[in-house]
Amino acid sequence: MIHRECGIYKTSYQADMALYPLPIAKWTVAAFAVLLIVVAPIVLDEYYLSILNLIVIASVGAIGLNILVGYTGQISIGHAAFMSVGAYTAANLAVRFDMPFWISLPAGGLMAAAIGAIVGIPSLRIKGLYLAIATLAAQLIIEWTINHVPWISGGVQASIEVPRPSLFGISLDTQRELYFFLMFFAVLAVVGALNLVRSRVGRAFVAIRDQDIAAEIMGINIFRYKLLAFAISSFYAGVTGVLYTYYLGIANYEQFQLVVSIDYLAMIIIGGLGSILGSIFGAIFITLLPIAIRWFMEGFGYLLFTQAELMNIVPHMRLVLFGALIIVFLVLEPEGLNRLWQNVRNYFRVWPFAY
Amino acid sequence: MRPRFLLSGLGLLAGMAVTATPALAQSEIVVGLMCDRTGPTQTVGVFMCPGYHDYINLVNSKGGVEGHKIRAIEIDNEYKVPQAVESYQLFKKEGAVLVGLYGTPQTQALTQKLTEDKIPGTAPGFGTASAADGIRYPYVFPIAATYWSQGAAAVQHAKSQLGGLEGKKIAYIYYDNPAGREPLPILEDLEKIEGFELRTFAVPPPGVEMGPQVLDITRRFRADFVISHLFGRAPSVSIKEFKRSGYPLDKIVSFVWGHSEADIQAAGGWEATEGYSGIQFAGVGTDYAVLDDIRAMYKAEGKDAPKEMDSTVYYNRGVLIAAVHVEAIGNAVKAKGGGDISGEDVKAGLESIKDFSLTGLVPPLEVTPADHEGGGWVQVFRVKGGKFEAVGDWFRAYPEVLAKHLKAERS
Amino acid sequence: MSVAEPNGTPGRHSSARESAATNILTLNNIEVMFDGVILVLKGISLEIREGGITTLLGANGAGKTTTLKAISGLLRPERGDVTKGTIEFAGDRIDRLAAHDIVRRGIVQVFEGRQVFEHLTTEENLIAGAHIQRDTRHVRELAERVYGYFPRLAERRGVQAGYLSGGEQQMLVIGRALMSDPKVVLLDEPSLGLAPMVVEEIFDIVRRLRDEYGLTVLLVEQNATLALGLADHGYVIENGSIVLEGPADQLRDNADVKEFYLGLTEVGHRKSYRDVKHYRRRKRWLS
Repeated sequence: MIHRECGIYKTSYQADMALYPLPIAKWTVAAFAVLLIVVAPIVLDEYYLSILNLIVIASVGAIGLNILVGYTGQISIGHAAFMSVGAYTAANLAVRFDMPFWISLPAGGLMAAAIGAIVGIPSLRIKGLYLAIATLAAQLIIEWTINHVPWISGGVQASIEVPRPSLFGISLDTQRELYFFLMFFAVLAVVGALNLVRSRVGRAFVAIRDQDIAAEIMGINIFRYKLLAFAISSFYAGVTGVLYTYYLGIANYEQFQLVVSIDYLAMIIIGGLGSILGSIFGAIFITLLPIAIRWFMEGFGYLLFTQAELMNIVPHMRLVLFGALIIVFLVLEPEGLNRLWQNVRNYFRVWPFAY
Repeated sequence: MRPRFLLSGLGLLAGMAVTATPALAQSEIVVGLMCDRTGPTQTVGVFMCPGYHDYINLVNSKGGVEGHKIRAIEIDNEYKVPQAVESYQLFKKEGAVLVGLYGTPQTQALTQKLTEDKIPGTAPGFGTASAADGIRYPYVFPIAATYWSQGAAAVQHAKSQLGGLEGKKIAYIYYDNPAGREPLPILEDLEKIEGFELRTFAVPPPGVEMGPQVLDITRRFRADFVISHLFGRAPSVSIKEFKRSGYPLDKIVSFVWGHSEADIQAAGGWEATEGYSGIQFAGVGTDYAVLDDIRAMYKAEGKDAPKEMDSTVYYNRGVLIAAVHVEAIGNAVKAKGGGDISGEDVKAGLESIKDFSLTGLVPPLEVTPADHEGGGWVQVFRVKGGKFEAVGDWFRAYPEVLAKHLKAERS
Repeated sequence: MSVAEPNGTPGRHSSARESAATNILTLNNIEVMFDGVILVLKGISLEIREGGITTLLGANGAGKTTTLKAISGLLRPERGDVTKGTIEFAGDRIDRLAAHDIVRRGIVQVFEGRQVFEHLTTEENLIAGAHIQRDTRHVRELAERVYGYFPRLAERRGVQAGYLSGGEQQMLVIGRALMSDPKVVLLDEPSLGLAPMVVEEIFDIVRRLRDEYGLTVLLVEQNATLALGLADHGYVIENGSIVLEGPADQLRDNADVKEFYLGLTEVGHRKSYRDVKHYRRRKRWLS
């Protein structure tokens, strides 16, 4: 993705509207795809693949939230609840009706989209903090409902065990097989989102975010598009929940509590609001940071502490460092990791002529 | 990654010099321990995890299990599921043959993976009651009384305290989450069998406000006995509320997460909580020879015993988990005739745990391939004279009722 | 006005528009109330002639922008409502329609203050403006037409709108409004905060749009000299009521308009406050 050009040479609309503005970008993306889809599963062992799997799942959820928060400018702290809607829908379909994943996965997404659209109704009249509170209420109501309706939750423990997804009779149960499974849907999610934000709908979202009244007098039905944003975002969340369910083999509401919503908000804020690539950066950052800090602390902590102290200090220092690093990154580049990346890229794009 | 190999090995040698030689490493047996010293359950983890390591260190300092040192890798998950997935994979990569699980959602999220990888995991006090069924969940081991067993034991305790339950009123006050509701079927069944009147009182999260429920129990329902199943801050709040409404605290029995030194302190100290009873699956207090051994080990190194040892409820549980791990590994090594054991061997080792009491700290567990709970043994402790005092011996209650429910759950 | 038939009826853009044109947009005695208590417009009647430029003059707070918002259906977000009277567009009542439906019928408003979508490029802003157009080829044609009128925008099509100059942003919002292929454009204070040269450039373009495509414009301006120079017909609004009305050249010659909106007085002659009072009385009588 380090490509160089000097000036704007676009002569047609097609060139200007292309997903990749330069031919070389296409090649770098292709190379990256090969690296992720072919090389990574061969080279990496199961442990690193499991980390990748967690990142892949989180990316889908972060992209979904970014469509709502970053692109449309509507805040939601109920993202995790929509994940649980998807998870329980798919789990019920898979267990009670023996549905394969290619039915239960979109079904989970659609159910989440429907619930999300309902939750989005107040967004017509309220904005900002007030909308945040409304979505918080949705989070709590959905949590409570799943917790208290055995018909949904599958019993008193509110957890439903789901068989592994199977493809052509093969049960996908190793990290490697699951990696391909998750990656397939993640690629669909990324391509779908990239195309969505460049489309008529995507521009309507941005218009609503930037100037909602101006958007309205361009003929954008604000209410409908806000609901659409909630529905699409929740669809992504629902799919994320389904992917989690298949990845772990269980749907459990405790995996989708309020803190998870906050984690996802952190991902898109650190990664970059209004950017698909930023969502992925954020998912990588938030997933890897605790692991990286732990490696670091365990690798170098013995210089300062004894082993017994270290056992107690590592987890706490990890929390402190986690918070501190997030602040440092945000101060360094308030627009997120994506902006940081763009700055680097643009520097090389015109290098050696800085103009 | 090299430093972490070295370091974790070091930790087991408890501060001794850097002597982790390759020869030693070969005969090492690796155990993964999830233990949350941060996050919502940190009040448990900060005492339990040191207890675990102290016992492992004690065993290693005496030459290890059948000549094999144990290397315990600890990871804190902040009670988050993705982190638990990552730590489990790390344990697996490091060659762990046994995993100490921590937290109900984490236990559930890893259940399928454990079965696929054939690595046993222990989950005392976590996970579902049905996990006691070793046929259904071959690689999950509660190794301690589940909420069902605790519910049965609480009824038994009430029966012995009241001298019969016919026509009595029992209130069940519980945290309104799946874990809190889990014992309900058992309690309802026992209501019919024993002929008492059961009424349930849910406390919504976060459980710091329960005045109305307590008033209901003491004034309107006029319960003869209270069974309480609360977490976090809620137990201490409940003690204060019952105290305020003049209810006798010795007519309350708590489940395993509502009866620790920290709860007593938060509720106003030992004097204020005199009589408050609770169910335990690991021995409580300091009168166990194994704890003296740990103190002696610290003394030999010229150190004071850690302050975590004072919080005996959770510290001793850490010791219990470690002891069960050591016992299972010992069984596996003996059966295999060497240190080259797999997860399956350790599973068999766990399933042959029998007749070991660890100087009374561990109940008379008997784990079998079908029963991963080990019988569901508990002991009731009561606040008396500034410490916890045992009320009677280890016991198990209504095993036939529990067996019936487990069977129904399986089908 | 559409690209396929750029001229509509022949002769519509000729000099005969003042007399021959029909009214495309009519406001019949409308009242607008905010929060159910504050009466802002007290019976406004306007007749907007097709293919002409009509201007609405008035001081700050007179109700000019509210009138525009009443037409484009934007009062509701501000808790306002048309409580009396009707607004008719091409023979249909539109005072009960939602804003996005009114755009579809062919009325588009250009706000004061140049509200561009800062994070989109110039071109993306234009494409966003064509939201109601489904045919992408038609969108291209509309964009080309806008670039034809605003060559400066063509030069800066790939630049983020937030980085455009004030004049360019004003051109962009007008261009963006044209992307919906409207019949009527409501222009709110296009000269606000711009250099006179730029204002002149923009007004020239508006004039060309009328002459070449028969675009109907309702222009709200504080700068009455400019507005009356451009418009065919004018209204003067004060305190929520129309106080004066007439062809632009007549209004230009009207003594009161000269005095109060054009700032022209006979050289060296100071008016006393008595005359002012007289004017106020006369206005009341007029309304």
